[in-house]
Amino acid sequence: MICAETKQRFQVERAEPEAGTPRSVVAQQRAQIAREMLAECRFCAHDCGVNRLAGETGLCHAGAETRFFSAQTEVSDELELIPTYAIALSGCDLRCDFCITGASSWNPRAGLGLDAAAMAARARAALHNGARTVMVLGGEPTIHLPAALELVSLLPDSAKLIWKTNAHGSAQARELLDGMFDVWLADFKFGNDDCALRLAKVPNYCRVVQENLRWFAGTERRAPPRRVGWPTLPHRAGTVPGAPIGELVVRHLLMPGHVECCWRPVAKWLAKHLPGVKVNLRAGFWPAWQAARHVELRQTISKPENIRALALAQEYNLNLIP
Amino acid sequence: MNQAPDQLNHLPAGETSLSEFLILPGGRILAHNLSPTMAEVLRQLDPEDEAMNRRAARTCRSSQSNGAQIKKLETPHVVSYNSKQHP
Repeated sequence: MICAETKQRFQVERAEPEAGTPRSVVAQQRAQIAREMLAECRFCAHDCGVNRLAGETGLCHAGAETRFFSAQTEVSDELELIPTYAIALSGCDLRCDFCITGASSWNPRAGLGLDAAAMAARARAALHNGARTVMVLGGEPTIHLPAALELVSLLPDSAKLIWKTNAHGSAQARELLDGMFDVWLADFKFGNDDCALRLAKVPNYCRVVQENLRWFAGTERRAPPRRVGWPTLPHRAGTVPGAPIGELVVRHLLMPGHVECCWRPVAKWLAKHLPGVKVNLRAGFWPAWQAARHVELRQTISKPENIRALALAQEYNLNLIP
Repeated sequence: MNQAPDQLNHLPAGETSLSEFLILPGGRILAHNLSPTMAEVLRQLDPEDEAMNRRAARTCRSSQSNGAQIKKLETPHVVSYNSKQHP
């Protein structure tokens, strides 16, 4: 619940955007709102409520500044999305021991300060040179919504934008993101809460991720309950608040020793609740960062495990994409 | 591994890119943050690798067409990718 003090903080006079407002304009307005919301940050499901503008930090340790640790054209993502200009923001709200970019993802002070205008110029240059998409990722970009939205505001309205996320965002974050991206590239890492807690130190993982995936897919687009102090958000031209915009692609990183406990439940849930959704099963796990803390994660995926995982995908009739 | 000159990747002046690889004992290579130029290198390591061919084909522009000289390695490898495993 947002307190009365926050109500006053968020009650800022804003003109309602006119119909036909382009994405860039809407993103700029939302970026301003999102920045104010840093005063009581609830962008992710940890729901810390800290005042990041005043130097307080929550579980992600991020302050008000956004930094990035990588920005380059890449071709290692889904074939239908590459080449993509991938902008990786520092810091994350999860603590996956096997994170391949753990040093930067766990540290919001890693890398360089983000100059949104300069980064947008780099992205535009990449698009000019043949990149098909621009991807905003992390770490976890949700914890940097103000900067991410500002970046969107500076990119061409016609650019195909990808939001690469751990799907651990809040309803508040989803409302800010609504209509801003063309592809939701979302992880579903763990098939049960025990593995999530042990490997990523995150509670209630499955419920939160499933809620986010349903929203990304457009199967659960109820407007969040109006809360005290929550401003009316501008919406993009041609869109209806709460209506699905953007395509969902679900990723699962196959982890050694977790085919049955994690992949099977993920596959089963996707088959039941999001039939036909695009799924990318990633078999290239390598024991990075602090994976060695867990015996089963000290290796790569074995061939039998890979075969078993693919068989499960077939069993559940998943729509696997390369 | 730091990459070759900016123009190979069609990067803005002053930019470089970074790709990471894990080479497994059997010769399999896992790649992370694969750049267009490195995809082309991996494709040449194993021209029969269909997956890498498809990735290299989607690069912004062929590094070959830009004058890059990539030495063809003779040792066959099984090239994999698909290991961008951070959130």
